[in-house]
Amino acid sequence: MKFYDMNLRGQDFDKDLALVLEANRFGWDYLNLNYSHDDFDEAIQYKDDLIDELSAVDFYQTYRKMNANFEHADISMGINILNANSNEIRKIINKYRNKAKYISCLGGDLKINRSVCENHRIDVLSRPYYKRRDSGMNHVLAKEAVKNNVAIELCFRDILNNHLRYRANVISSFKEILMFHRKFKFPLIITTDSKSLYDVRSTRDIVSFFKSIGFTEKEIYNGFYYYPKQIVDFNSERDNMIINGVKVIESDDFTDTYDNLESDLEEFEPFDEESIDDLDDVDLDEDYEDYEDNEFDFGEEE
Amino acid sequence: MKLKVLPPTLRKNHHYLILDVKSEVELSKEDMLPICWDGCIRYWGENHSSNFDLWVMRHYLVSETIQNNEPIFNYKTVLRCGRSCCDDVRVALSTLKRQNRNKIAINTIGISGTVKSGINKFIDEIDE
Repeated sequence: MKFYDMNLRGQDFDKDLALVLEANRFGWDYLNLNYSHDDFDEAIQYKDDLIDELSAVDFYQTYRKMNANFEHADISMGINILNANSNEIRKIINKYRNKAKYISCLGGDLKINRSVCENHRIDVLSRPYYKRRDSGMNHVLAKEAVKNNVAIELCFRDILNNHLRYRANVISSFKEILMFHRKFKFPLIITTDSKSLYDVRSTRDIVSFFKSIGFTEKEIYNGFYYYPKQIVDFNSERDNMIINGVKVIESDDFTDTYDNLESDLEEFEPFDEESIDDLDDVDLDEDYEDYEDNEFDFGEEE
Repeated sequence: MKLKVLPPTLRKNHHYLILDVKSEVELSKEDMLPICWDGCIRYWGENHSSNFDLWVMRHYLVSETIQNNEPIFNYKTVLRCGRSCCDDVRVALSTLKRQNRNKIAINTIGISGTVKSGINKFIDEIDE
């Protein structure tokens, strides 16, 4: 399993570099830096420099697994639309859809939540519960999100930055959105929304947190890997798509025949029950390594 | 009079979490224990936290850097916890953000059955 963090908050080169290095150290495999639409053009110019700096990092400076094939995290850049009304969102999408591989929109306002869920050109509705007492979602929005393939994003940063009853409120919103996700099956992604070094957490810590509030292993796998990868893959093909479901294939590249249409990406298959029982009483240090070698290891530290 | 030491079968079983701690200010070993307890009690409540049995075994300063004119102290800490509560403790520690208005970030980088093997595996900078 790989860990995709689709929402790191980009600022400038130095801060982004520190953030990316730290996230890479703690085992993230794909990092997407989000900028406002004003800063995006400037940021895309130093993307290659970021990748170069990251590739110079030694394996021993990270907490990744020793026996794994060591690869640095991939970096991409996207747009996060903040504080815009429906008209402004439409204009920004028209301008940047072909340039950016990832476009998300901050929710919170009911009109924004609705218009984003109805817009198939937006990838993600970010934090529909933002500054609300409820989750900002209902069955109508959930059905629209499924229809237009808009993912809903839950941010770990909201847990970090809120305390006591506000944190409880955010967790309650997470659970309500999870309930809708279980019923309507819209894509649900989990991100960290890290802004500084102090926001970065290791992959396994975040997995443990979401397990503790009631997410299953399947939902965590899908939220960190399956749905984000689907978004990345879909957007890399977007240029060739005429309409949804139809894409242009170059004549030289006509190997994509009917047999190969199945993606190699598969939705989560749960553990068999015996292996889950074994994990309950892991006797470290020997059994811990077995756990790491299991099909769905969430840790990168060993 | 001192209590007699319990026989091994009656003692509690422990695991040791190896923590990566980043802080704005210097933290001593004595500071770490209340930070961990506060995080656990805040997230899990008093009842569930009573099973955790936390104790700071080792505390090392690994590096001290300056970023954006702010010092960042990086420590590695060995924290003892109950054997069945490792995941609960690491969740509680990961939700910590500030301590006395100073920024702090705690990540668990490994779990070990003994202090010695934890240090050998995860804190290679320290010679013990």
